[in-house]
Amino acid sequence: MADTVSAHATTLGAETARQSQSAIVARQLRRNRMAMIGAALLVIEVVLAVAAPVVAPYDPLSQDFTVPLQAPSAAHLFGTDDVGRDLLSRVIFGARISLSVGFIAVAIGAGVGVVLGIISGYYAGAIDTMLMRLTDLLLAFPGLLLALAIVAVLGPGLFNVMIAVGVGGVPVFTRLSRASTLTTRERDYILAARSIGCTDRRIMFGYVLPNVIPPIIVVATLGIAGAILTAASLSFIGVGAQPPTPEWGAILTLARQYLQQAWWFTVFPGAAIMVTVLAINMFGDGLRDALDPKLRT
Amino acid sequence: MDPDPNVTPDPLATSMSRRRLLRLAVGSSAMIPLAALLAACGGSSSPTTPTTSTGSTGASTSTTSGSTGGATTTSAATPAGAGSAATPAATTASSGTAKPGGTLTMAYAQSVADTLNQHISNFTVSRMVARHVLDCLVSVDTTSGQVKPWLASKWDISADGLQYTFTLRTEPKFHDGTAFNAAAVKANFDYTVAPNTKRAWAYGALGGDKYDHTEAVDDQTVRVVFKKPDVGFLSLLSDGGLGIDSPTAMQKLGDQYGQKGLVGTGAFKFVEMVLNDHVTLQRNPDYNWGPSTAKHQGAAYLDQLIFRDITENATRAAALQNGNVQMARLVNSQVAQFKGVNTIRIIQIPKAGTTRMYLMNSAKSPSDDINVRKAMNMAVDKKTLIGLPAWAGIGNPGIAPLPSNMVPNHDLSSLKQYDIAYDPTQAGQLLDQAGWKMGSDGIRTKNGAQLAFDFVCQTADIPQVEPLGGMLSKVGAKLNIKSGDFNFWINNTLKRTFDMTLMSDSGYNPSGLVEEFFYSKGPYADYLTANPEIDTAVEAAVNAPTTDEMWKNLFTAMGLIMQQVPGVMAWEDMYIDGASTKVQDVGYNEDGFAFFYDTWLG
Repeated sequence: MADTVSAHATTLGAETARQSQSAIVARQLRRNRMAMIGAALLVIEVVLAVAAPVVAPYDPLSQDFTVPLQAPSAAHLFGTDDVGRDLLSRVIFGARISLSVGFIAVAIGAGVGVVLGIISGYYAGAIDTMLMRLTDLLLAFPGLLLALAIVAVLGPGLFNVMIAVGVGGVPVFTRLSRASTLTTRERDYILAARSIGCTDRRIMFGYVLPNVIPPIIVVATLGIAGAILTAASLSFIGVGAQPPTPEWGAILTLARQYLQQAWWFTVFPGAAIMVTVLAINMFGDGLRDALDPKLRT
Repeated sequence: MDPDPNVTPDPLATSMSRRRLLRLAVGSSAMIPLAALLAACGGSSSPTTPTTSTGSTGASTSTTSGSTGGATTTSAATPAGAGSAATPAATTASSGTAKPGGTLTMAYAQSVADTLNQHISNFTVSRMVARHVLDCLVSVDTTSGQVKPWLASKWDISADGLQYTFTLRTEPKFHDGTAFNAAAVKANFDYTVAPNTKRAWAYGALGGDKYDHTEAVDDQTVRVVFKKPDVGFLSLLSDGGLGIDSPTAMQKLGDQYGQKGLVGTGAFKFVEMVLNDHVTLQRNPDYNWGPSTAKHQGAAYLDQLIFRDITENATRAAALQNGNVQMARLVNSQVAQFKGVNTIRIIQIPKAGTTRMYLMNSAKSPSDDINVRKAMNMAVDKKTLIGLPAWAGIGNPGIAPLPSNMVPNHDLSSLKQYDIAYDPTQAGQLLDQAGWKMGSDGIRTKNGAQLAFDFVCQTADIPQVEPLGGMLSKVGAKLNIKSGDFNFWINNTLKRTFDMTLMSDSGYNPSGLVEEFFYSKGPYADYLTANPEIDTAVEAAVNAPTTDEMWKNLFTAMGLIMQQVPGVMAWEDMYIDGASTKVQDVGYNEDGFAFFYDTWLG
């Protein structure tokens, strides 16, 4: 009975500690004005992206040859493109694509990288050496070039861009999770788990993984911005989203030919990329500060 | 601790933290909507087609004729030539009196892709640049289409079309002092067809497998002998690709010829070439044997001529606008940019080559059904297409595989009966009859398959492909655009892994162009399933002994091709050059490229 009460108290204590931790992080975030602005912008973008079919005034693919390259007006708030498509609608639908690409690419990179990093850090030795040399190889390439090379092999298209950008992120997440694993695996509770017969798999993903998550979240958040930029760059040079997909980078590829005569064609999709990346960076910075115990106030 | 009053703070010592940078970025981005609003208040207009010039008619020409006893002869001037009957802009209009001096810089996307040795280069611009250093035996008058004397003062063609005998002028001299004579001409053609010379454009222009040999009859007489008639040969002799090089220089420089040096008899001498950057030429002061199609004789007016490579379209246009170059080859979408710019004029030059075609793969469903191909033609409003920004109103609706500027008297009226008019209503009816029923999503289906076409194109062509998607969607067809670089496009077209593609080729050999795409053994053939009647007509055109015979068979072939509906003959294309208003008397050759012999700076 006393043991049960004691165990329950321990569980309650841990739960309370975790909740306090979460409350502290949330409070820190709320106090960070820049992070809140970033979060608000992101929420607005996500809502717009989800509600695009309702919010967008026109079908983003519908061409109207009577109004090509029309300046912003009451009928077309962001103007029209070279085949008369409404730019506002295309930018809104583009948010769906860009945010999806960003999240999925990071999910691929983090999913693979975290697993590899934990395995590498936990087992060390030859496995660690081999995996680290592989990540060194990938890290030797500039991210955009690596993504370009992968797309060149896989072929153009959004799905292949997600894979290419995701693969480019694997080494970063691998190294980060390996570092966390190296410090965590020597902890007492890990030794205790080993001593009571827990399998390596259970230890890695039941005990080590929760400690790896916080820094991964921060890097992943910031990585989404990079992924969106890389995907837009690949579309800009013609190997990403295929026409008539309203991906922001792909819109810019068409728009640059009309830079001098139709400023709206480049400004609005460009601003959308900029605001999105900025918002993610602001929120990610705030999250990092909130999770860093040294910066707690 | 208080700051040391004896130390002046360094205003640049403040580090830019990431946080501060983000704050600045937020502040700047907040200005963007304000800037956009202010710009909108300033007003903008959709681009309209600016006033352009197509230039004046060509220079006066002189024709000569010759005869040899016994064998029948043909005068030097060949009516309508083997190529284009006429292009409107032989030389642009000028104001003032021509005066020598100055440097003109012309920007192309890529002047010389590999070498200036035109015998082995496959790149049109390279040959056009080389043509300023090399002279040709003849020159095509682009106004009349007639072939006129240049290095050859006259020529005879045998009745069977197998022998061309040229009488050479005595005045020309190679820049390196080598004598220009029949032996030099023979050396050039021997080099082109030599077994270890890379097969390139020049080999085909010289007749390819039809060519037999060249004889130096005497110092001033050279005879080119063919195994089979090649009526295209005489016109193609006007191309820089068949220009005459100094045999001494070719031997001396070997593999480096065309990169380290280029020696001809031309109005300009080679100074230097930096691959992918520029080519510099300077005036040949001794020059006095210009083509009879030119506006003047004697030395060129320009002191120096520079061809610069500026690959990026926007950068090239900006260089023109800023005055860094005096002329530049532009793209359609840039024409509106120069509207209202008084110091720049736009020159439109009909492109020698095929019509730009949205070709359909008739070996693959759904375009294996001729009714589907007809319906797709009816869905395309060519006039509206050309009015869109990607065309900027430049070009003409296509009718046949060859554009009007490539045929005698620009007359395609006999083929108009096969042209399919824009009629989306009838397109829908035709598709209904073919079993393609409209779905709730606006796309037609038949036996569970969508009426969808995989359209393969280069990324740069997307602006001229997307509108097709919009037009086809109105009749219930879907276009899946798959774009990539040149290699992606060419590999897919050669492997026939497409349903539709945007296709054309440039050049001045009409029968060769039709053969390339529509002859069953041609490199891009099989857009149509093999058609013996078309093959027969094309073969007859390619092997015709006279140009009249060639055109007769070519029109027959084109009529048969159009009845098969290989795709949409979308538009007749034009080259666009931007030029400073100081640049006067720009000549254009039959391929649509500038020739600066008569050009001067005002």
